[in-house]
Amino acid sequence: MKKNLLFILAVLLIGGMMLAGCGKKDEVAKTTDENQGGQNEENEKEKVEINVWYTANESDPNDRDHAWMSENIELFQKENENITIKTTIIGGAGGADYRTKLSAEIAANNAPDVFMTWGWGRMAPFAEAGKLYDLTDFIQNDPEISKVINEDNLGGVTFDGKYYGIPDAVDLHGLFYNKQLFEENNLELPTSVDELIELCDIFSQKGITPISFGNSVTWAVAIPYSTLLADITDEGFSDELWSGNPPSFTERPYIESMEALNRLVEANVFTENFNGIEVAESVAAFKEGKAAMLLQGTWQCSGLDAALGDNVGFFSFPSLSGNQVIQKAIPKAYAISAETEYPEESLAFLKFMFSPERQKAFSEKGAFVATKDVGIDADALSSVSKDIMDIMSLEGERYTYLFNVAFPDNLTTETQKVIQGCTMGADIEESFEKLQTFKEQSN
Amino acid sequence: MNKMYSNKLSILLLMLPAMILFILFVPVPTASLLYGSLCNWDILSSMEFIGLKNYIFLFTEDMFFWTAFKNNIFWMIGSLTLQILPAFLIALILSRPIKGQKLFRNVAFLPVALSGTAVSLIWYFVYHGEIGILNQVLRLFGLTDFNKAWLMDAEIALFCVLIAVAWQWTGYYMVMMLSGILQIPEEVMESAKMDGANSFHMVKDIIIPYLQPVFKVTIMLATISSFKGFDLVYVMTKGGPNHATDLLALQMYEKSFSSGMYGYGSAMGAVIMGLCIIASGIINFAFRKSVED
Amino acid sequence: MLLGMDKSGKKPSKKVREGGRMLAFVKYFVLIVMVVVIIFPLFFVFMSSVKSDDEIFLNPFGWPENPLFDNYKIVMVDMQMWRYMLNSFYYGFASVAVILLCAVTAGYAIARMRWKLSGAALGLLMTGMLIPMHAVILPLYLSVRRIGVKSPWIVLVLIFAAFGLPKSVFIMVNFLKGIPKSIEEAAVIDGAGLFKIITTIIIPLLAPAISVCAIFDFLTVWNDLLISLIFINDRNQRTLQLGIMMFKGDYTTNYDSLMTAVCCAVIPTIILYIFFQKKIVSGLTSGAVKG
Repeated sequence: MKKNLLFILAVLLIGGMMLAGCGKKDEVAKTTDENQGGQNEENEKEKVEINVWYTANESDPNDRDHAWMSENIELFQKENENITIKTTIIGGAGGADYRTKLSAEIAANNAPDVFMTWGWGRMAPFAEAGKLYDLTDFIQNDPEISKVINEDNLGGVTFDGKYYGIPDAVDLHGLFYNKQLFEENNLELPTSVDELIELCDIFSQKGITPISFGNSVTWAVAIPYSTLLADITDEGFSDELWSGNPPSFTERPYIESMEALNRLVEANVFTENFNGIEVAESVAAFKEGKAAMLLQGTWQCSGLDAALGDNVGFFSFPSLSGNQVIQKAIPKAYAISAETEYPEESLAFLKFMFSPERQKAFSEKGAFVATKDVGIDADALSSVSKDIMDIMSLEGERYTYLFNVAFPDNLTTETQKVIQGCTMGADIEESFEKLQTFKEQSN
Repeated sequence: MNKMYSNKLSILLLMLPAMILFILFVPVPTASLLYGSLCNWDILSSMEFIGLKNYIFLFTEDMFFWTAFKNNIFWMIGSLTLQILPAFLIALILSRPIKGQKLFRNVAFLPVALSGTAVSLIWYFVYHGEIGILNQVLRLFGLTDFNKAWLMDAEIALFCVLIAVAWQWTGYYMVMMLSGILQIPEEVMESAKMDGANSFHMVKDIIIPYLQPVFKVTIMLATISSFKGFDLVYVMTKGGPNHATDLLALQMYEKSFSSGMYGYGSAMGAVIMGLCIIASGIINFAFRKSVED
Repeated sequence: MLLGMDKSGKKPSKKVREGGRMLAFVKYFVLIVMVVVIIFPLFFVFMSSVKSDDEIFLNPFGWPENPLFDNYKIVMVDMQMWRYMLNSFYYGFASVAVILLCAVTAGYAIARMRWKLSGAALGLLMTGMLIPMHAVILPLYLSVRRIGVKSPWIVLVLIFAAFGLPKSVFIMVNFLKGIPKSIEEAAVIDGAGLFKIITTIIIPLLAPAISVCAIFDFLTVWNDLLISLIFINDRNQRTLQLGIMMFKGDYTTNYDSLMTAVCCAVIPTIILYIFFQKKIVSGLTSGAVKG
C-alpha cells in the first residue's frame, strides 16, 4: 500500500516537473529571443516582446474589455510581425486581486509594459512614485493621437500637470429602466426624488421591485448619494472634492444628502436588504423583469442589450431639486510602465488601441469611448446606448463624479462604509463626525 | 543506547531539512515585519524610519483597532466553543462502534476540503435575506419574525460568520481528536471497564487525561488561527456592516493592500504576532503537565 | 479491534441496555443532524454547477430544470482548468513531500533525541506559525525577486512548505510523545541503528500523524489563493484557485461557471481524503496492538 502511494507520488511529481519543464522551455526560448533582439542592433526590426496586462471576466462574452483587448492584441501582432505580446488577464471581483498583483509587480520592478489601471485616487500612488511613463508628449504631439484624445476626459489621469494614462471609456452611473413596465403603468421618467418615490410606490404595490440594487460591494451606495450631494452644492464645493482635500464632513450638505438618501431607503425604493445583495443578483432580477429599474453603471449595457434589447433605457438618478445631475464613473485607463524596455513598441500599441478603427470596434462592444472624432456611427448603437449617448452629449448640465473619487484609498473605503452604515440606521451626524476625525488623523 | 539518542551528528542531520527551510523563509519576513512596522512604507518607494509612531497611533488614536481587537477576543472564544467542543463530542461518539461509522467520519471532514471561496458562496445562500435557507426554514416553523438579512445585522453578523467557520473546521479538529482517542491502549480501556467504570467516568478519568496532548494541539491551533482569522470574514462581510465584524487581520489587510500603508499594516501584523505569542505561552503553561505514563 | 467490547463477552444488564438505547438515539440524532448540515450545502453547490446564471438566483434550492452538464466541458476544457488542476496537484504533492521530510525528521529529533536545545528548537520552528501572512507576503516576494528567482516552481513549493512546517512539526512531536519508547528500545537492543529505527519502526507508527499532516497540508496548498496570486505570473503555471478567479470580473461574475469550477476543485480533494482516511484507520489499528 505504501509502495503504491510512493509510486503515485513519484509519478505525479515527475509529471508535474515535466509540465513545469514545458513552461520553462517557453520562458527560456523567449528570453533567448529577447537577448538576440537586444544584441542585433544592426537589424532594424528586432524581435520584441511586450507584456500587456488587464483585468476582465474571460468567461463572459459580454465583457467588453476582454472582447476588445483580445482583438486588439491579435490584430496588432498581425500588423507588426516583429512584436509579440504576452498577455496576462487576471480576474477577480472588483479588480481587487488584479490591483494587488499589479502593485506587487510594479514594486518588484517587473511592471508590465502596457497595463490597464484606473484614474484618480488609484493612479496617484503610482504616478507619485514615478512608476508611470509620462504620456504628455505623446498625447499632445503625436499626429494621430492628439486628434482623438478628448482633453475633457483627462482629469483623472493628470498629476502635477502631466498625463500618465489614456482613459478608455466614459461611463455613467444611473438608472436603467424597463420600458415596457413603465409604459404599462403610464409612467414618465422621474426627475425629482419626490416623483421617484411616488413612482416606486406604484411598482411596489404591484409586487415589482422598484429599483433593483445590490450593494454588497459597498461602494455603489455612493452613487445616489453623490448625485444628491452635487445637486445641493455648487461647483466650488465639487472642485474641493476633486482636489482630494474635501470640505469638512461635518458640514450640512453631507448630512442633508444622507437624510435624503435615507428617505429613499425608508420609502422602500430599493431591493430589500440591498446591502447584502450581490451585483449579479440585482442584474438578474432586472433582466427577468422582476424589477422596474436597475441602479448600475453603463458598463452593464452589453449584457442588458443581450437580454432585453430595445426594452431597456437609461436615465440619470433624480435629484432633490429636479435638475439633472449626470454622474460619470471612474474611468479605466491604460498606462505604460516608466521602466519599460520598449517604450516605442508600447506607445505603438497604445496608438493602435486608440486609433479610430479600434475605437469604433470598442464602441460596438458597448463602450462609450473617451476619445472624440473617431467616426462612431450613432445609428448602429443599441437603443439604450443611444439614450446614454444623448445624455452624455448634453451641454450645460451639471456633471459630477462619485464624491469620493479623488480621496486617498483608505478614506474612500471609509466613506463608503459610513454611507452604507447610515442606510442601515447608524446615527448620521455622529457617523460623519467620526469620518471627519478619521480623515484628520490620516494626514 | 543513550549514546544513539545523544549523537550530535544524528541530531544535526535530522534537524537540517527543517532548519534550512526555516532559515530561508522565516527570518526575512519577520525582520521586514518588525522593521517595516517602524517605518512609513508604501511599497513602491523605500522605507522611511519613523520609530514607534505607528504603534502609538495604533493604540491611542486608531478608531477601529479596539473594535477589531474586541471582535477578535469574541472570535477566539467563539471559535474554541463552536469548534473544539463539538469536535470532541463527535469524536467521542465516533470512537465507539456505531453503524455507518466510516460514513459519518468522512462526512464530518468534507467541509475542510473546501476553499474559502466555496464556503462563502454556500453561506451567502444560507444567510440571504430573501431566498436564504435559514430564513426559509424559519418561515417553515412560522418564525417569520426572525427573518432578517443575517450578515447585515451588526449585532449578529460576526456570530453568523463564526458558524460558517465552525461548519468548515470542526471536522479538522474532530479527526485529530478521534486519532487521539483511538490511540488509547486497549488495556487501559479494558481495565477501567473491569473496574466498573461507566461511560461518563471513562470519559472523565481516562479519555480526557489521555487526550491532553491532543487538546493542547487543537486549542493552540484554533486559538492562533482565530487571531489570524481573515478569509471567510473578508469574503462574507468585508468587516461590515460598518466595521461591526472587523477583525485585526482584516484591518491589517486593508491598511497594507488597499491603502498602501505597509508600515502601518506591518505594525498591526506585529501586534497580531504578539497576541499569538502571548496566547501560545498561556496555553503551553496551562498544559505543562502533559500526559506521560 | 474495537473499543467497547467486553473481553468476557457478557451482555450488560437490562437497565444499562435501556439507558444505552437512549444514548444511542441521542448519538445517532447528533450524527444525522451533522450529516444533513454538511451534505445539504454541498449538494447545493453540485446542483448549482449545472444551472444557468439566472437560475442560480431564481431557483437556488430546487432541482436544475435543464442540467447544463456542458458547464463542465466549458470550465475544464475551454477555459483550461485541467491544466490548472494539474499544477495544483503538483504544488500540493511537492509541498507535502517536503513538509513530511522535514517534519518527521525534526519531530523525531525534538521528541526523542536528547539535546539541550530541543525545546528552543521547537519554539523556534513554531514561530513560523505566528507570522500573519498578509503583512509579509509582499516583502517576501520582493526579496525573492531581488535574488533573481523568477519561476515559482521550486520557490513556491518551498514557501508553502515553510509556512506549513510549524503545524506539522507540532503534530508530529505531540504524536511521538504519545508513543512509548519500549518498541524502539527493543530494536536498539537487537542492534538496529538510528536510521533503521526511524524508517522501519517510527514511520509506520507515525502513519496516522503523517496522513493527518499530509491531508491538511495538501488542502492548505490546494485552497491557497493569495500566495499563489503573488508568486505566479505565467498563465500556464496557475493553480486551480487562481483559475476560479477567471470567472469573476470587474463588472460581472459568472456564477454558473464559478459553481462548476468550485466543484472541480472539491471533487479531487474528496477523493484524496477517502483514499487517505483508510490509511489513518489501518495505521491506528496496527499501531494500537502491541507487539
